[in-house]
Amino acid sequence: MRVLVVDDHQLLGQMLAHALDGPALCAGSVSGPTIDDVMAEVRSFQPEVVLLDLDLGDMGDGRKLIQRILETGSEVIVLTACTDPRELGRALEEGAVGLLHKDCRVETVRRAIDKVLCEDFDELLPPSTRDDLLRSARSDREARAKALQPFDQLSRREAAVLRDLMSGYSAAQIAERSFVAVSTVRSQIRAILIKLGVTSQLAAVARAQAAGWE
Amino acid sequence: MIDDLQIAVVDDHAMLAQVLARSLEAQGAQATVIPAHSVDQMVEDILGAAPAVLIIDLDLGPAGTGSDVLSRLSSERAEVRSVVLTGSASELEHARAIVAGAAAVMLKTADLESLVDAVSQVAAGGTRIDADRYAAARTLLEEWASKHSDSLRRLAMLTTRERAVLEYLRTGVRAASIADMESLSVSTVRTHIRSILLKLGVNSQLEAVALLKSIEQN
Repeated sequence: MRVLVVDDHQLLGQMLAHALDGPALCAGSVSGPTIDDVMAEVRSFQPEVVLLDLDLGDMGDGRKLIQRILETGSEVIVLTACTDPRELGRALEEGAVGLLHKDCRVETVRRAIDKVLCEDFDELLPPSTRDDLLRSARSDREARAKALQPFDQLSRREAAVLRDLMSGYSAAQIAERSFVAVSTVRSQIRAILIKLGVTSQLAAVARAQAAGWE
Repeated sequence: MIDDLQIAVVDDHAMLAQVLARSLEAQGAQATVIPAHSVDQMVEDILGAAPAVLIIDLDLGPAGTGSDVLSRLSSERAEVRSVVLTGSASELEHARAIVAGAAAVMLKTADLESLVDAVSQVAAGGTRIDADRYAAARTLLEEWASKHSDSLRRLAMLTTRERAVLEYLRTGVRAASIADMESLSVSTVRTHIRSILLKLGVNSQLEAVALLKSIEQN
């Protein structure tokens, strides 16, 4: 039985693998430095289970690795400090079978690995919890897309004006910065307000921030 | 190298603290895990454990930061040798830890061997922070403070009510709606807004909101 810990924090990976290692379990760890290095290790170590961190530092989002790991025949348990149901739901969408918080004890990790081996997937993650998390991920994605929709209608110039407003510039300052007439900027601002369906510059800025528009 | 050494470990991720303590024990040390409750409680627990070396994380979640704990320890004149172990690569955060008295700053991306090296060096009275590094950390903190001190000072001048109004403005709520929600007259809210702009030294509500954002990003 083989387990591989994938964490950009080499220290945690090494130590967790060391703590899990024993007569019944062969544990290893890999911390990069690149995604390709991680995948190469997954292929050569051939673990039954991969314990995968979601935030892989410079390597980015661990979720983009899940499907690639599944293709090698390993199951993935996500091991993360994240508690946001939307983020966790997105990891399940990618195909993770279990979720562990970095606050849990080593014994809990070991039990989770056992459950994967016994294919007690419902025991590992109750179906109702799973459904809730998947629903959070889905509704978050829909809400985000919907909130961002009006911003797609902004012209390139209008988007630039909105960015300047977000930095606190007034219409006169924007005009000066971009070498156009103040009246031009004012009409661009009017267009922005109409397209975003708001009645003030302040509301436009707040909406952009809330939608995560950049 | 770390045989029989008393080591205390503070990390808000219980798993890391647990496996780190085990790994250190496997090398002969005596490790104690101190839970990341409040800064006060951590300081008390550390003083109680009186470790030869303290290994402490910087981001301790809602409890505060490792640098807060280190500053408190040195203000209580407690001679605790410490190794900071962090997942953050932020120079500013490292500088805070160094000025707060850390004898070494290690990244969690390091391997166990180099952490053990640092711990044994620090236990023997050594430090990984030479005079140049300490001076650079001080300079970095001073530059940061002077860059933001004006904004912070201005923000501190706002009354509680003005602060609340500014929060509304940030979420895009207009004066009339603020008045509705806070059961105030619109002219009162406008007075608050004028006072906010005056105190912050800005010309528009947009500028006020942008100033708030720029401070919070740091």
